[in-house]
Amino acid sequence: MHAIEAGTQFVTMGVDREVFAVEVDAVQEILDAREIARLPNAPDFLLGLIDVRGHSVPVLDLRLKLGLPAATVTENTRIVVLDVECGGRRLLLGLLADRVFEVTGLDQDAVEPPPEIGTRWRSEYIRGIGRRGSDFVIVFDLARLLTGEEAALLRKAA
Amino acid sequence: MRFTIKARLALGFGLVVLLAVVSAVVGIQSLANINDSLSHLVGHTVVKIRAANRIDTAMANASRMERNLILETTEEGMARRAESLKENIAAVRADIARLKEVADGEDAKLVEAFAAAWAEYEPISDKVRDLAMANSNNKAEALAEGKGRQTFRSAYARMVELTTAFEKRGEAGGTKLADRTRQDMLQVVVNERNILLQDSVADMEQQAKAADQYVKEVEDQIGDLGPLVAVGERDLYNRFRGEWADWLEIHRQVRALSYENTNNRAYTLSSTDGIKVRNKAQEYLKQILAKARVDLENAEKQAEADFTTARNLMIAMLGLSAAMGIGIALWISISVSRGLSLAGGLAHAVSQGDLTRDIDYRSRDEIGDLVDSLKEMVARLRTVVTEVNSAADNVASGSQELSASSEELSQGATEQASSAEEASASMEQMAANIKQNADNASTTEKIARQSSKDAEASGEAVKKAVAAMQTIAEKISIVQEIARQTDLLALNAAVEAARAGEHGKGFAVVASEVRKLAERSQAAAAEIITLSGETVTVSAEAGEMLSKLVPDIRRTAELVEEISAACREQDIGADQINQAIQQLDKVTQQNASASEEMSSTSEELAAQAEQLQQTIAFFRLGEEQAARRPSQPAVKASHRPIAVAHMAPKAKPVPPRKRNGSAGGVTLNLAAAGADAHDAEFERY
Repeated sequence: MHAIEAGTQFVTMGVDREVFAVEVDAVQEILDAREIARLPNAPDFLLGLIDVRGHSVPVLDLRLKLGLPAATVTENTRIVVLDVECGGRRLLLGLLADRVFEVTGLDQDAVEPPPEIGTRWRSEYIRGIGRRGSDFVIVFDLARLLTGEEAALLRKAA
Repeated sequence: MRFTIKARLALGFGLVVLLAVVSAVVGIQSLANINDSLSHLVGHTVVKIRAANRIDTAMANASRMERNLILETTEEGMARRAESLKENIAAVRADIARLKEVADGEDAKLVEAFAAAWAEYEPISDKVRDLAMANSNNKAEALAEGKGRQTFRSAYARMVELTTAFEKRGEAGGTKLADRTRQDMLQVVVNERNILLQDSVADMEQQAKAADQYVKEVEDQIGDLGPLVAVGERDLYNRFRGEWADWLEIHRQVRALSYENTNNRAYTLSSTDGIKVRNKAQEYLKQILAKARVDLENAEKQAEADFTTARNLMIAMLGLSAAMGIGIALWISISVSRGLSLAGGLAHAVSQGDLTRDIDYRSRDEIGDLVDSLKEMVARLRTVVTEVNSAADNVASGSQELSASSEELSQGATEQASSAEEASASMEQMAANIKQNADNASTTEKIARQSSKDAEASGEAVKKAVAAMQTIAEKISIVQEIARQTDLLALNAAVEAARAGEHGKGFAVVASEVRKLAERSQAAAAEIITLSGETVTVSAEAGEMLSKLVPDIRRTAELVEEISAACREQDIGADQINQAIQQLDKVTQQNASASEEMSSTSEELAAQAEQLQQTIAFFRLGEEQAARRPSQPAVKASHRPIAVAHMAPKAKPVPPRKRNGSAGGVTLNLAAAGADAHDAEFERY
């Protein structure tokens, strides 16, 4: 786990009541919610494929991935297309988030490691917990979010 | 029990008819009995008698034919007789068969006995016939009389010649001998005849013996003559001998035939055995006949007895039915005549006007009903006459009252006429007011209609405004969408700028500004949408209120129209009232003259009532009704208030409350307070 560099920009997104963030470098594009082609025998969190300018991109539902119940699509629902380095390979994938807030930096001093116990989610996905003003922002560890097995599955799907 | 004339007649005729039927049945029964015995008579007894009689005749005929057959000499005759005999025997047989058919009981035994006797007779008869047919005696006689006689004459002539020759020659001995020969010859012939005449063979043989003696003498003498015969006479002598020999031969034949003696035997048989058997048969026949006659007599007696019984019974029935018929007829006619004469008397009394009569006749039949009806009729008539009497009295007094009333009426009519004129003037004033009302109402109606149209137009305008507002809201939502897209684009630009690092800083600021602008546009659009939504709601409410207003205005117009119509009707009604008042004036004048006429008519009526009283006095009502007549004025007096009471309601005005309820609609009663039935149809504003 490498430390977060100062001045790094993040894209913040909302899932349920929490605010999550990914590094802006991993974000390729932010899209409106659109029709997703479903895949047979896929795990629950893998919603299916979308077409992004000629590339097939698998989409994951963040809510399901984080163990939350699925929510209906609203006009704020967004798909954040990520370009992730995973196991030495580049991987294009979409995360379905309830909303996307902005591109912003975090208050650097406030970035903390994730707590060991008493959380609602699996803490290995979390790279750290930062602050922006009084709000907590949970920064994803994208490589962990997509474990080797899942990444292989996604590659296969793509 | 009710015993009507119909029932009585039915009973009487029924009994008489029943007796007639019984006597007819008895007569038919007797006739049937007589018919039976007659049939038996014709079928059996008479047949029996006839058959027996025929048998008797046939038997007599047969007997006669038998005799004739015995006596008959020619073959032809015999054949005829035999045929006849056979026929008669056949007839007897046929009748025996018939007798057997019809015979019964004792008769049958007699018939059987007779048949047996006849059967016994028949072979005897056959034998007699055969013997008679043989006919030997007659044949013998014929031979003797015919050929015998000729030959004998010839021989005798030769002997006479010979005798003559001897005499000529003077041969005395010869002549004597020849004479003796001739005498003996004649003696033989005599004996032959005697044989023929004998019945029994013994007698015949006796005669034959004598004849033989003479024949021998003749033969001897012929022999003696031989030497005496001269040469010239030899021829004659020989011829004589030949002829004698011929005759002898014939004589022997005659004798043989005679000995056969069939005719005599037949006769004997017929007159001994035949008669005996026949007599026996005849005896049975007689018995049969006697028996049949006895049957005949018995049948006659039986028929007579039947007839007598039937006649007596029928006479008795006839007598009984006649007596019963007369009795019933008398009974019915007496009862009917008594009742009818009573009823007739009552009817006559009523026709003479006497209603006091009463009759006492108790019978539960039609006459009784008639008498009861008559009595009821008289009672009713009595009541009716009494009522007519009192009515006539009432009419007389009533007509006087009527006269007085009509005068009052005349006076009242004059007052009424002046009142009607006043009412007419008031009505005209009212009609003018009503016309003014009607004009105002129609103007109001026009205005209300215009308002209704205007309200409708306003409603349309509001609807159009609402539609325009909705269009604006739609357009604004497009703007909102564009703002959202812009926001997204700005976000992506920000991402790009961030990824560009230091080089992208300026661009990031721009993207941020754009994003802010987009967010503000979005907020403004949302605000506009909210506002336009509110406007639409308000406009819709306004439209709704307007649309509610339109029917109200329309309703107002209609009500005003109704008011206008009612005013017109009122106008017409006022006219009608005016006319009616004028009509009333005329009627009042007519009433005045009519009441005068009525006065004179009532006098006429009084005269008529008097006449009626006189007419009705024709009926006499007896003591109690006559006694009641003077008390009738009291009755009349009690009737009077009733007559006045009848008139009173007509004179009284009808209560106004009731008038309002009527369906006329032209009655003006503006003073009446409170709602009535018509008010319910209108709404108050």
